[in-house]
Amino acid sequence: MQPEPVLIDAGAGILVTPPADVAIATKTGAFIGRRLDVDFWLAVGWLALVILLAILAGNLPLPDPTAIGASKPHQLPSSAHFFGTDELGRDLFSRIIFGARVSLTVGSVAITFGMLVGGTIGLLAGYYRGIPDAILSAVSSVLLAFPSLIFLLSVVTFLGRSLFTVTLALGILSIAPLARIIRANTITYSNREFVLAARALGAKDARILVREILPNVLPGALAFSLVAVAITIVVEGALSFLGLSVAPPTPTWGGMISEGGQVIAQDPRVAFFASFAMFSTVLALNFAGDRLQSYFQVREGAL
Amino acid sequence: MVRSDTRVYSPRQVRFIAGRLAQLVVVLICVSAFAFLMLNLLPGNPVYTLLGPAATPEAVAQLTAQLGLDKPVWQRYFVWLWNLLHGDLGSSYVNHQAVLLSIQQRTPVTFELIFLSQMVALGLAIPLGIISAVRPNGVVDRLSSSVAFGLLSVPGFILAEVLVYALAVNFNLFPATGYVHITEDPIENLHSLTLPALTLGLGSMAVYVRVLRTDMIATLQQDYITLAIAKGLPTWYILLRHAFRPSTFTLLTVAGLNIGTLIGGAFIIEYIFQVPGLGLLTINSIYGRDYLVVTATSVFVAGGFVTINFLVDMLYVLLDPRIRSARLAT
Repeated sequence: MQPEPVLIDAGAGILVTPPADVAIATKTGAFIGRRLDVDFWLAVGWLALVILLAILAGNLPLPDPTAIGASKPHQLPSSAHFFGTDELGRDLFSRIIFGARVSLTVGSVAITFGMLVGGTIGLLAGYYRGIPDAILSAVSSVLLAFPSLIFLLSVVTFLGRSLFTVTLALGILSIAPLARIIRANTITYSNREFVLAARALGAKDARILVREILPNVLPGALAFSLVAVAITIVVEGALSFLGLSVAPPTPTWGGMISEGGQVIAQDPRVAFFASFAMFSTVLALNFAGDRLQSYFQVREGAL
Repeated sequence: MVRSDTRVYSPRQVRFIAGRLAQLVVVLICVSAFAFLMLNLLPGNPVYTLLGPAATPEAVAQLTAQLGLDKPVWQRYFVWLWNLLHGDLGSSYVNHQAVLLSIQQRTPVTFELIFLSQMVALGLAIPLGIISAVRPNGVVDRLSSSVAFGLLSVPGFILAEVLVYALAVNFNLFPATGYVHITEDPIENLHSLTLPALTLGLGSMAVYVRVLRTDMIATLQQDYITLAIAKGLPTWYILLRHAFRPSTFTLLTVAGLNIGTLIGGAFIIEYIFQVPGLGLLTINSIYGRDYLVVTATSVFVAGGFVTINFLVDMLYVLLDPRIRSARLAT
């Protein structure tokens, strides 16, 4: 049930409608008038397909993504090679599927780590306020000011280019922004009447945090973490584009985009398929996250 | 006017500004300490980089002492900080150029790139945002909203390759890489910066359109707009003179924050197009393990970020009397 927009024909060609994202408060429930549409499920479907292919990559009858010279280079798409082959004769479709593994693993593991650490910090800081909160704000303003790419580039250059270091570095980077968002959401819920009621009934802090605040903060946090995964995939892509993510021969989308860029004048397909894979996945994550955020009415809080 | 002038110097405002300034300095000191420690604690020694794999232990020891690397990290940090306050950031271990000089040479290039990209972003976002707000869910609104949402999901390095392919490879309109300095040839300079500026600008534009549209829609519902329409003022006049300015506060904040991030976020774009700005300097210095340069650029980039945030806060406080009093009250 979409809210009927109030149209005011103000004359002079200006039609005014209230912004679509204004919360519609009803007595019967907060979620009336907001429903997840077909586009949302399309995005989720695409993500499910990519995840499934990445998980099953080893069991699918795919050519070896790292075998150099196994086929003729620069072949056009055919039934043997769905996307054709690259300049070293490697199967592009297979490389995209195996590349998805790196992007998805780094994105989801780093954000899970960031959510566990940053989310806990944000929850505690937002609930207790006072000194822990002041420390969090100070530390996070330093971390947010520090250029993230310099942090990533130095960690990866010095500690080595493994899946573990890249994931860890990105996970650490995600702590401060995630903690800030969870903190802001926690503060809004901490001041609500049901928290006061729970406290009046004699509930301890731990119970209030876990039973009253966490269930309210969680949906928004999950919606936002989809967007965070998208951002992380882009940053990992940037690192592998610079040749500083997981080392070859492991295929990565960013690495393929960079390789494709070298031969873009002769054969734009290499860059195209990898770019499309990354763009569509990031778009689907952003889209699903965006829809879920308005579904759960997340306010990101003042940054 | 006279009244607002006296307000600017009210003790509360002075205290507010002084507090934010102190915060700025503390953040910068912390960032520099963090950068210094991080780059020192990580394995990798510039002495070996300088002397090569065939270095004798004596030569290594001598150079380590000469560079002061045998002292503890905290001592070196304070020496470095002391020198920084005296305008001396040391010299690169790799090419022995003074770090401050490198930064001075590279900064204008990065700033020019950011300036051009923001011209592109605002030049597209302002008309699109206004038209979208006039007819929400109209053709222009839907089109620009979808394009903006799509652009937000395109990583800069992909957009760069798309633009290179479309405009440099296919039509040969702009050079794919290379940079001509502004003193050599101003026209060629703009020509060589078009693609990088477009790449950065389109990304920013996507954010700005969304922000401006939302604020503009809210402003157009105000009573004074209805009054202006009732007075029979022309539409363009109402939009530009009555509605646009009050709708730009969020845009200004977002643009400020965005410019702050771009100082560090233009890195990859500078690298792809080989624009010799701060980003290219940093990336090359990390590859070369030239950590004095990396420390200096980290501090410089973070300094730009916090300074711009500070300026945005000040601008915000000065532009909108309502926020001015609200912020000061807290």
